[in-house]
Amino acid sequence: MAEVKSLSPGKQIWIRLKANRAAVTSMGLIGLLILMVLFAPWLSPFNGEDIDYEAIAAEPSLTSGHLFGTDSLGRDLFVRTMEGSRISLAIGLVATLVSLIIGINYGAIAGYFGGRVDAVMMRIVDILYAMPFMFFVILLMVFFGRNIFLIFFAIGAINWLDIARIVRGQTLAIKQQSYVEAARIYGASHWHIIQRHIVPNLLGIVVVYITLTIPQVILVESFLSFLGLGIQEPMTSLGALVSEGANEMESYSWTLIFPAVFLSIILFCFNFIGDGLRDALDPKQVK
Amino acid sequence: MRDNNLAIEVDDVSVSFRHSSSSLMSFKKNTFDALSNISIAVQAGSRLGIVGESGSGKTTLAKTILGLYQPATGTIGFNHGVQQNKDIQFIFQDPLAALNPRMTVEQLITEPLDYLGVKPDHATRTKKLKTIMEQVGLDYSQRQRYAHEFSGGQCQRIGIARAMITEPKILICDEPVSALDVSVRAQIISLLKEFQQRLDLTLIFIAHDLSLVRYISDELIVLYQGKLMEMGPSEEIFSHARHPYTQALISAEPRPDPDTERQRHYAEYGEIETADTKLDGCVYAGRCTYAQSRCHIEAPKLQQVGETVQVACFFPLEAVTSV
Repeated sequence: MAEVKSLSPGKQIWIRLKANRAAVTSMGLIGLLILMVLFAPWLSPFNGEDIDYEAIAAEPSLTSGHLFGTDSLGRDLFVRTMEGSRISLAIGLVATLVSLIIGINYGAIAGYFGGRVDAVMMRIVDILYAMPFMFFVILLMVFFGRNIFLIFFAIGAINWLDIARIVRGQTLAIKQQSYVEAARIYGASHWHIIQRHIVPNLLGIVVVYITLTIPQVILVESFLSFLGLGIQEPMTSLGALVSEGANEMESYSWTLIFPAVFLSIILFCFNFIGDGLRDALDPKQVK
Repeated sequence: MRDNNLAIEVDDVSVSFRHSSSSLMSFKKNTFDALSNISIAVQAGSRLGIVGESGSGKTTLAKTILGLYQPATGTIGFNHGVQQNKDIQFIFQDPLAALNPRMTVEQLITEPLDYLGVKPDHATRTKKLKTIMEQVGLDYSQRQRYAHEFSGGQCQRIGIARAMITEPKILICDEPVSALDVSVRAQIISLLKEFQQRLDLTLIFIAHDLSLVRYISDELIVLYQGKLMEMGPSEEIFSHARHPYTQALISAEPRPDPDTERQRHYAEYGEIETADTKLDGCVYAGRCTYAQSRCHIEAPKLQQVGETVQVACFFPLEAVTSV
């Protein structure tokens, strides 16, 4: 008999995901983009801080080496867009990770223990939900000064609420499964049950949520930067660049167009990946 | 005084569930008695069958013995040395649902070993895994596969392997074959029986299929709405059902012959009463064709009828033969 290769649930999802052309293209694009934002600034003769006095607010051109042109201060827009994308992606990833770690643990504990523990924990989430986000961020900025880590923290601290709710709901369903009961029968501790049986089975939904949270976080950061509360000069992010570009779009349209295109591509790609994953993870879909 | 030969002694156990109303304004808490005043003594090495219709408390009784539910009153005692986690194992009705979809067969089967106190080393684990997989008829080369890649019968074998790897003394099977294809039922049943005989297991077997219970068990208890109706050696009960409910159960069982099936008479089978409208009398009185006025006023206690059988009925039927 021929050896049949075993397909783990993960592999099956991967096969289904690969069949989704938009998701695969998006993954390729995001990969390319990550390589670009990491290495492309080195290939350019310019850096993001120095002013080119010969090319202030210059149009994009291949001959001058300013591929995306320069801004009204004469800084190379190609390098600044790359640096901005790097910061935006980093915020997206780190803030999502922070919210995941808090959200999964919080939600799984609330859902697993249920009853009074659950009620108290979820009411805390409700109260935090009711806090106005902008107000919270402005207060943080005023008290602690503008700091990139604070932005990571602030965004992560808001986003874990959603994850905690989703994870709690899933946990409520999973803990009714007979395999959780089986684990209780052969004497697994609560910690083991959460770690071995509940969290691994949550991963599907969490993966989808990650890909949908990253663009959301990037957008929130852009919004903050647009309002002048986010990243500070000389560092930049896509939101800050779009904000600057928007002020000058009538005279120097390229300062808006390039960062805006990058922002859109990133958001589109993550959303497509998220959609693809959601379809791939849907158990009702025929193999 | 505890009889040393008893594996499990269930003494006057009641289990009730609370269902509080969902409205925030009212704090009314209703309790529902899933089991009331059950006393059974299970001999070590015996095969106890539990029958009764849906909602009669069969599974609740099993899970209470496993320690998943706390009895509201009464106690459950085990023969000394029996630890709940190690020595009592459980076989589930739905074999696939009882297996974590993200674990390989190897992880699934060996997981209970982690909770025995001392973690076995890798070599012992592999050896035990290999032995148990052979014993339940699984191919050792398939140990890296996931549960969903197996058929229902094979999943149940994985479940049995997981239960047997800790070498339990008591095995509780909650309708282990009702979710399986008819063609593999016999294999699973004979596998269970083989383990029972080889290891001298105490087996508790819950099933809807009466002919199966008759085949596998030597002792039988009949539950109805959380109460014991009849208890005794299964052959005796199957051949002379003394409780009207037991008789109705047996008569409701389909026969594999279409001719007899067409001609036979079913015992009268009234509408089931909900637990909320429970009165003082016998729980079965509302459906019972033999019920008399006394049955509605007073609940019958278990009484000895004949040599070996106990029946909770004021008017036990005399030697009614099964159809």
